[in-house]
Amino acid sequence: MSGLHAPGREPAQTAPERVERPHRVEAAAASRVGLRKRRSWPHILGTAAILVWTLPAFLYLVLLSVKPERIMVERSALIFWPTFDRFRDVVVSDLGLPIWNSLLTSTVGALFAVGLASLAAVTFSFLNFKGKALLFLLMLLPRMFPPVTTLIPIQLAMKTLGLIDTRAALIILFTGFQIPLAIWIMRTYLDEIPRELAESAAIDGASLPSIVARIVLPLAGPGLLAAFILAFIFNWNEFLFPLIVTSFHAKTGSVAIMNFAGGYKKLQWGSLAVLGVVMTMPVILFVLAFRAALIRGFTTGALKG
Amino acid sequence: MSVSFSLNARRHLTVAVAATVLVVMSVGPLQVSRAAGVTTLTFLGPKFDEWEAFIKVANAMGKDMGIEVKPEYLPWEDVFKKALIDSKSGVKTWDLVYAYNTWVPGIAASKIFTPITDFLNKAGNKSLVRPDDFIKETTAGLEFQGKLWAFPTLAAPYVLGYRADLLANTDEKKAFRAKYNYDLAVPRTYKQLLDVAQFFTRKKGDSVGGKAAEEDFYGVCLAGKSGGFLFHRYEMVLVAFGADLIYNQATMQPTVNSKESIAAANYYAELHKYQQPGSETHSGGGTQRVFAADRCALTMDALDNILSVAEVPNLSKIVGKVGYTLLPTQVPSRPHAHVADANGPGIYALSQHGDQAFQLLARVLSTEGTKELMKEYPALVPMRASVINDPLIKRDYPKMVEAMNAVITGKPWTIFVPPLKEWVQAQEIVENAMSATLTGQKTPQDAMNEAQAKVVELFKRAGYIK
Amino acid sequence: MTWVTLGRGRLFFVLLMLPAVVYVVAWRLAPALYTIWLSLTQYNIVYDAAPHLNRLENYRRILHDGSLSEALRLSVIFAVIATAVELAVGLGAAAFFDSDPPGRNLLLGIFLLPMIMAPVVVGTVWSALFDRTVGPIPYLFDVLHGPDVQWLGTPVTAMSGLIISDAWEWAPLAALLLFSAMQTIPREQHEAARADGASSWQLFSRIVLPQITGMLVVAGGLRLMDAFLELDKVIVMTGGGPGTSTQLVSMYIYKQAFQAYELGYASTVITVLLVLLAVVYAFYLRHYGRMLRLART
Repeated sequence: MSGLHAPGREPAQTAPERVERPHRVEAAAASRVGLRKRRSWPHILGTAAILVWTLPAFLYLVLLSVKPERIMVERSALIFWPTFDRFRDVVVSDLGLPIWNSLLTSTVGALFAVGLASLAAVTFSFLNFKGKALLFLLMLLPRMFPPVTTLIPIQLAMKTLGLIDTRAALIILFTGFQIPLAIWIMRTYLDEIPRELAESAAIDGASLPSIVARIVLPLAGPGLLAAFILAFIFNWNEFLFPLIVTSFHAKTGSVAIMNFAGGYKKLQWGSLAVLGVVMTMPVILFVLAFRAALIRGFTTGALKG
Repeated sequence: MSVSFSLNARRHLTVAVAATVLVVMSVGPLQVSRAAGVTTLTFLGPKFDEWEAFIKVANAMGKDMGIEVKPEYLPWEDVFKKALIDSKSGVKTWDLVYAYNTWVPGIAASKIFTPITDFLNKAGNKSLVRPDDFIKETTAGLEFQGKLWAFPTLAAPYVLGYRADLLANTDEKKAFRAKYNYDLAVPRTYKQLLDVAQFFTRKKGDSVGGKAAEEDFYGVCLAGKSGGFLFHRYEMVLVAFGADLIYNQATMQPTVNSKESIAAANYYAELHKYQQPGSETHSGGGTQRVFAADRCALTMDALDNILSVAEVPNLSKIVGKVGYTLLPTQVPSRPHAHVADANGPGIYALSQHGDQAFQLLARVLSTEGTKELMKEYPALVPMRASVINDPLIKRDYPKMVEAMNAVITGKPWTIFVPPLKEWVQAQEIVENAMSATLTGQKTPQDAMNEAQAKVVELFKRAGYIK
Repeated sequence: MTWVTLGRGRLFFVLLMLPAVVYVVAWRLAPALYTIWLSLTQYNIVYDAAPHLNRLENYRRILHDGSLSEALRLSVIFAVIATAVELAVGLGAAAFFDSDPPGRNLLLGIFLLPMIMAPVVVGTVWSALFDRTVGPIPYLFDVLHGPDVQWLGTPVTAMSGLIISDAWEWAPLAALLLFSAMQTIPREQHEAARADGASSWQLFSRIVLPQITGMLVVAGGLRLMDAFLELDKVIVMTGGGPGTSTQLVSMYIYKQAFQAYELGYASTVITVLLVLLAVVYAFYLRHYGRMLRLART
């Protein structure tokens, strides 16, 4: 009978917290006005600290991207007439395809990873079985594995499957890369779900699949989003495997961008900075557009240690 | 509860539809348009100006041969890695692959390329290519075990670039004479190089050639980044001082702490005092940008590296002010000693179009083709004598011809990196020792003694010595 | 106290888990097994046609590999300090965001920027910032008549430079995770503590900190794991130099595998590393559970 229970905690502990939550939101809203008045100067200081931490390095990248070549290495030249030639070059060059490839494969790879991982995480969270800890460890192990020695078997497998230089190859790999992280995050979220909810549904006669689909996963929605975002970011920045398994059609933005960083020849800070900005833009837009959902995803309470 | 369920269901449906669309889009068929009768050759190489020029010229000249070339640019150091793994996995994507001289022994051992020599031996091909026209001093690096592995394209002899305007400045000459008791001139020996470098190391605001320097001014700009840049500069001094490159090729004994090597290490550490600060993070390209920003008197680098930055108005404040000469001499038996580089495309062994690829290379890298290449990339240092001797080339590219004539007539003592399986490891050991010396962690003597022990261990493991 | 009958339930749960497990086994663990096999061979991918077994030769070599133990030491130093800095900065930022400042979501979005940039871009930006000939940071020191710090030029400062750039890139992740944990603390507890006259510091250390210990452990674990294997920024910023003072273990493996092409030996290093990490990680998971329970009581 001990087969199903929340690991590491008593369900009874969970329930009161869940009930408290609506109150918490109201309380926070009620106290917000008072807080703002009372502590505005720490807010100003904090805001300044956040901006000073993040922005200078990022603005320097933007500055490099529009700095004319001739004065690129002059450090005192901070005010100049910006050049957008390099941005124009990027627009007219065929970098559109690599960035599109990155966008597509990172998204689909993250979706698959989160899909597979969240199903597995349900089991890890709700079912107790022998060797669970070991299996969980095995699932997470790939994350701490420098992958350089697996390049050749992976490339051979892709060749055998006829997937060299296809986006499918990238999706297959990206899915595999992100499953461990996604399982970890999803399990952390699912562990927080009160078991009573599922149990009462079971008493009402709901089947297991419908309990998972209708109660467990929707409640873990914010976790799904958080896992998806992180998986997407890690896919987006993946370099070594895209370099090896793709060439013309499925090349990713991360590989294209490296052309400007590697090598012994000219210093291509300008071009690299442009690509850095271009590569960061889609993700910035993504984050800004979904920031409310994203932050809710991280904060609605499921991902609690 | 039920309301939220239906909301969720709708959301899930949307997500599912979007996901399906994405999946279909991502694995959907790719439209490959190909004109009938045209062979598409692929090229794998670094994204450098000369290779972009090569692709442009190859496509122009290949048109009437029914050939188009599609480039895939990768970071320079990843080109070999990619070709190697593809070759090991039986991937047949490539036709032409860029090669650098230090890769050639590995290319030969792993059979990534079909040697150019195999194609040259086919009827009629020799007269087409005229291999005698190649400048011998520059092509040796692309040869291995009696075969040519890549088609000679871009030579990279190491030269001394100097600020001709500063060395000719009368005030500077007077001051130099007063300080060093001999006339300021283009350095012919390493002692003179050190003096000139020391002399021109100035602080911000000091006069340099009669003008107040806007920033600190340095004697010599040298690349010093770990990962090969530092070693490549240091090895010039190493061979000039009469030392072996790491080991004696006859006895296979490592010579990292030989008398000559220690002298070279001491010299390099001394010269480092007059280098641009932060050189330990500068690649060749970064260093040349500092030189081109009017901040150094001297530089030692591959000729085309200097030309492609210092002589380009868009990048340089010192266009036309730079003179080029051979590296200085230390040991008389090794005049102007340098370790040269060479670059060229080879033919991928698994290529489906080997003969066409060869025909295209022969065409693009002929005398005429090379001249076309130089129009696209003026810093190209050609490997054909007929190009250097061409009157129009002499007229249009005086700096390059001046330097190359110095290379041809000055007969610098030239070697290429030896074909040693463990070369990269050995080089890295010595580079790390040099780097530790330059940052003051160790004395040159101590650092090289330790490096010697490590190289001996490496050679023992490889079975070269007991 | 259960909500299903176990017989059918088990099968269903196993089926749920199966795809992910099979997937990870096929695409991640099988290549890992190949690596373990390679670790028993002599295989230079350039010069050897195929791997050939050399028994435990590589393992014998590893025992005397001074460079590896040095790399491991550097990686531990890097990972521990970088993670500590990231947790500290992240904690501060999270506490700030938890106080509901105006424009919180936008600020948080901005703060997350470095995390989403490609690592190579982060490395390039910081190597440019630190560059002593052309970089703004030494220039700022110069203008303010500060000391002439050699940044990426000496062992200690180069390591510090790497840590700074890593902290810049990943402190946001720590902040995000810690912030999410703080948000789950019922606001009444804040109010109650305030009513009892607790100072902000007391509120933080007595109420907030104990309740986010679990997430500190998660965030710290995640960052330790990734920082321990840091590669991109090292390649771009220092190349492992000066000397070998920033040659972290990933860089060492990368050099063995793709500069020396000694795939056999590189596999051995990875295998040993994997065993070490698995032990540390199993330990971590065990204590992670315990810490969570402790944090809750």
